[in-house]
Amino acid sequence: MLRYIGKRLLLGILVLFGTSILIFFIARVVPGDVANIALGSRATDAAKEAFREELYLNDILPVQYIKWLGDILHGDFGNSFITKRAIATDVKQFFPATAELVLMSGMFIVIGAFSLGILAGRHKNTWIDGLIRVLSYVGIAIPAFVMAILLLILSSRFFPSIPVLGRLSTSITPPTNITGLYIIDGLITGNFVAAGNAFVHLLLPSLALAIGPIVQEGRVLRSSLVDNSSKEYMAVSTGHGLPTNVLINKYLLKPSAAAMITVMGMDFASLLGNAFLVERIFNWPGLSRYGINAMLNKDLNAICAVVLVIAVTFFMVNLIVDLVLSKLDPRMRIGG
Amino acid sequence: MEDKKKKVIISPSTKENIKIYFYKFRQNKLSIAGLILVLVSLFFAVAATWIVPYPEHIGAYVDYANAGLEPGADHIFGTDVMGRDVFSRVIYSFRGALIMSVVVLAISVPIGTFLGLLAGYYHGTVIDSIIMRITDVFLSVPALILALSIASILKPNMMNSMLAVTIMWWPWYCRLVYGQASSISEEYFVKSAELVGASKSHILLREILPNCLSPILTKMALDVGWVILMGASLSFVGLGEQPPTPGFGTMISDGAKYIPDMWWMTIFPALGVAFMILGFNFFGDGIRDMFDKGGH
Amino acid sequence: MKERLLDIQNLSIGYKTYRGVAKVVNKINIHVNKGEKIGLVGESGCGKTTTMKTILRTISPDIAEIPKEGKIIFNGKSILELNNKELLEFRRTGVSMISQSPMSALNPVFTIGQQLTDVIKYSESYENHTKKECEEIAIKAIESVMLPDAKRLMKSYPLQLSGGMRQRICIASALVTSKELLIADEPCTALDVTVQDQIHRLLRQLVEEKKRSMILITHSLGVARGLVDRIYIMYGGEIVETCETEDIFDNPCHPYTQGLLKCVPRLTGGGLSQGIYGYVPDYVNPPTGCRFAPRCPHVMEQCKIEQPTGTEVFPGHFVSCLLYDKGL
Repeated sequence: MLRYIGKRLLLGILVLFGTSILIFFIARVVPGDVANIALGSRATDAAKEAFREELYLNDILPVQYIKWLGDILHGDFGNSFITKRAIATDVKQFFPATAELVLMSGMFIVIGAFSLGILAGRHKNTWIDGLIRVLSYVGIAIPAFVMAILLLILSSRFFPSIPVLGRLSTSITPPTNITGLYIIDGLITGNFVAAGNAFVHLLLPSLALAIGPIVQEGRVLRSSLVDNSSKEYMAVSTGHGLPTNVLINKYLLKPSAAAMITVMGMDFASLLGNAFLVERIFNWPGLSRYGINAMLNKDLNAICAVVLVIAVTFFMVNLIVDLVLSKLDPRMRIGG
Repeated sequence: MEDKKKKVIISPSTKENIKIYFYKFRQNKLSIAGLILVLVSLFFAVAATWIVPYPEHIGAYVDYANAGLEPGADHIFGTDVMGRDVFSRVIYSFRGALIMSVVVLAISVPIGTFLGLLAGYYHGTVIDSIIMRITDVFLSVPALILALSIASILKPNMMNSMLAVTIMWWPWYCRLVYGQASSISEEYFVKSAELVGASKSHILLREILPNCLSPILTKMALDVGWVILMGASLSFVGLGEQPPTPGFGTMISDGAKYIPDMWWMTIFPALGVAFMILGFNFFGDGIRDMFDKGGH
Repeated sequence: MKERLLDIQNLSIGYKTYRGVAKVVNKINIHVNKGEKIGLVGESGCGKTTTMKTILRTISPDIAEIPKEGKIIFNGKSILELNNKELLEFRRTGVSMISQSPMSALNPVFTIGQQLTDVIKYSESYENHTKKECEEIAIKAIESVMLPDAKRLMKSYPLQLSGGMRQRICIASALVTSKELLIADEPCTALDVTVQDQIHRLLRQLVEEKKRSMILITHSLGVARGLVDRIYIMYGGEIVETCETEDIFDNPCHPYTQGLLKCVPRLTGGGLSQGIYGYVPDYVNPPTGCRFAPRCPHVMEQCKIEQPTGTEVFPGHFVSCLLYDKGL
């Protein structure tokens, strides 16, 4: 097992090097004068020249990359044109908000998809199953950013009291910073008011991200459950007289969960991508909003930094999903 | 006595196959529904300028007197803040979405397939490693984020967003075909073709590729919907068709500023894009059932 | 008169197909006495597995229909009329089954230990045992089927075991509880010939040791010969002959049984075996009259019209054939 993780990590580092080359290349192949774009055409020539020095733009491309990579490995991502601060500081500041959003969405997805899938599987071919199927079509057809807007419309019409902007209402101070995740920090320090407030603010954006995956992955689980229920081993277990809840919740669920968890791993990429739009819509102060702003304003170093952070996160999540899968289903084990 | 013309011979087995394909496709009512939605979308895309009630509203048109009208008899989807008929603009958006899918797939699928064939046929060698590692690199960044990065660097227009999506789309086909090609390369009929001295291009194109076609075609049918989705996401942040050209994402973005009051500015383009995505999704499922050799 | 453990009376089963109802089992009568081993012998597709699955009621009513005249009585209770709760109880306490395909009979994502322990834990015989005790029992059960290194096997997954090993585990889990009846459905069909013999002998030994009753389903008379006390020959969904094991070989009466015996290649005298000409009947439109008539070498005109009723040609030896009904 450790060997497997080691191999994956090594391969991952190799690929991430490649990713850094890719994103660096993308960010440097900007047509036009970068200094002009970043500082504006009214900046002084001296300022522009200083800028070019800072970004190594006077060197040839491979040298630029090596110097930039050296900086990165020292934790120096350069400075943002927009915030005028060290990008590393920006990333540290904004990452927790996105982490909290993604974690809450993830929790909704896991609970929701399992519940829907089991519900549909248990009552297959009844109206419950049909309803869940229709919901899954809705989930496919509505992109997350549209879902976010729909939720905003619905909440302002029917639940005007749900706050829609920011992580906390302006009257509440954030809890003491331990993890950066307001709900957890609030719960740890006993600041339940802040924790509750943060949760309410988190509700709409995480639902916007979660609804599509919940219904789609729930359908995947439902199909696996239905497929596996006609397998020989289920008939044998039934013949042994095991109680129904053990049969379904243990012996039918475990082999069926693997397919859904695989899809979850792949859907995580869409989750991260959709967060870029959803955070923008809700003005959520997270890494994704920072990233999309950087992209729209051609804040080159910031773009590279955000993409790299996300690539690393994606890699780690994929590794965890694969480990969970191999624990769940021995047929998927590679090596030990 | 040589034939000057080469006749295209459809063998009886192919005719039989086509019959079986249609039969399997017809089995699922949803696939038929998908086909209908797809055909309607095609119709809208092609005939938009001729069938919409207010063709001039598609371009630069301003009529503040009629701005912000609720859906009614004259404007069944209402008008936007510039006074333009939302219905006409939504129908016209089908064209841009479809063009984008066609262009993106027409370029990325052959590239990805070709690289996948190479890597699969030469699997285990340096060629395999290089191609697949490059594929891994592209796939290490979530799709939308990579597309956004590329598109935001370039000047914001339709062409560049199509370019951005094409650049990040080919690796999926490379991986798909790689999986197929590497196992097919071990089959006896490929080995015997090698022994007989067939050229590499023959082996790749006439032996291996035909056996990969069904998953490729299935994925293409489903991908149309996903490319449209990606295009809408890009144009939502302004990277795609530029005003005054209408597009699903742009219209939703414009309308988002005015919710919940002028809800029709966002709801109807949202319905439009949902229509296309769902249609191609059902259609793609039908294509997959068509090629499915086993039972359910 | 021995006490009947299982009594199947006049049972017919029909599969609902798009062409109509396939009457795959037609008015069969089978009984098993306590402590007895019987064999159900017949070709593929003659309805043996269907009958067994119907005993356990693992076939959904959407697929199969059973006319009311048919009865399955187990220990005095009518199985076909049990409700869900009673059915669960019946499965827990009465019958266990070993299926044809050991490769797919075990859940691939749970260890052998987990699966065996659960079977034990939820059974009637070990109701109040702790998990640890159930595990001990599981280990003993694995050892009873002659598998070495039981502790390591407990932690293994099915895919790490060979077919023969998996079938032994299935036998262990079927016999570990004290359910009275074991149904073994072609337990060795999927295994190598060398392993077949071992497993058959193991099965007989364990069943006799634990004083259980057994129904062995097989398509081979030779296999049945060494293992069971009484044999039922099944053809086309009907029982055509039944008697004690040796009688089948000494006195085969039904033309089908005679044909089956001729199929067995002999080392001495005989030469190559001869098959039985013809095909299995079409169950949706079965022949009126005797179902074997189209293939019978002794067929008479009457056979195509009239169904045989069954005669007792010797004590305990019944044949369903017009030849004997008419005393020929």
